[in-house]
Amino acid sequence: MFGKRKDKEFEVLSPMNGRAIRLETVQDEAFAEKMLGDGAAVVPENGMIFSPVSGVVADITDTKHAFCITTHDGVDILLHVGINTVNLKGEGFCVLVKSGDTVAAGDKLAEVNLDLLTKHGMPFDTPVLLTEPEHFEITRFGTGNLRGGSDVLFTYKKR
Amino acid sequence: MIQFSYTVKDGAGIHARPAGALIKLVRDSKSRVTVKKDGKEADAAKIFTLMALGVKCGDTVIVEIEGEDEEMMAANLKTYMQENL
Repeated sequence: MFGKRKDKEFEVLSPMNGRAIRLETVQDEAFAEKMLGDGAAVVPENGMIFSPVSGVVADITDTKHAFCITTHDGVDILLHVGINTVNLKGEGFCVLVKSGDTVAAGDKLAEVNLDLLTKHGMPFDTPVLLTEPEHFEITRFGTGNLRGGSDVLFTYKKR
Repeated sequence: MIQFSYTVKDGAGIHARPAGALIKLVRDSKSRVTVKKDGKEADAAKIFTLMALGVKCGDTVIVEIEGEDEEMMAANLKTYMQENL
């Protein structure tokens, strides 16, 4: 069933250990209303961040809280760690990769100090998005507690 | 084609939340919108290219709008940026 056909399903792994939630419940309207793309989110219980897909790191924001990864077949994935975390200006994040690096799904990308988010009242919600949702259909969602870098957060098919 | 420049006042620059609404505006329009900074340019309908510009507070960007609703879009974008960025 996983032949090189148009209906092939692709997996996006949970980037962190934690509970899977739907995008609609993320505490930021830019994500909840899918303005930045479609996908799902995880509410992490610790700070280890893993790559949800295999591909190339296209960009990491200077504030270290958002990662753009382009898969080997050209699909752009945005990983945004926490809500309002742009305001930490990089504090609390330790990033292990750089733009241009090739990563495999499950590789460790970074670590974040979640206590700092708590201190600043920032929700932990961490969305993973397909940034050009018009080209894809999300086919399945992971539910319950997921292991970062190994359990599937969602799967998609090309339209 | 309509062009205007804008200096970002948001302390965090062009980040996810304002970018999301900006992208939605652009995708709902019939025009192509390009944001330029320091010789680099981004398709304003794509979060990846926008984020790669790395626009920070105090940076001046040039916004170019081209398409059949460019006048309306230029006005909408200016208002949006003044209120949100």
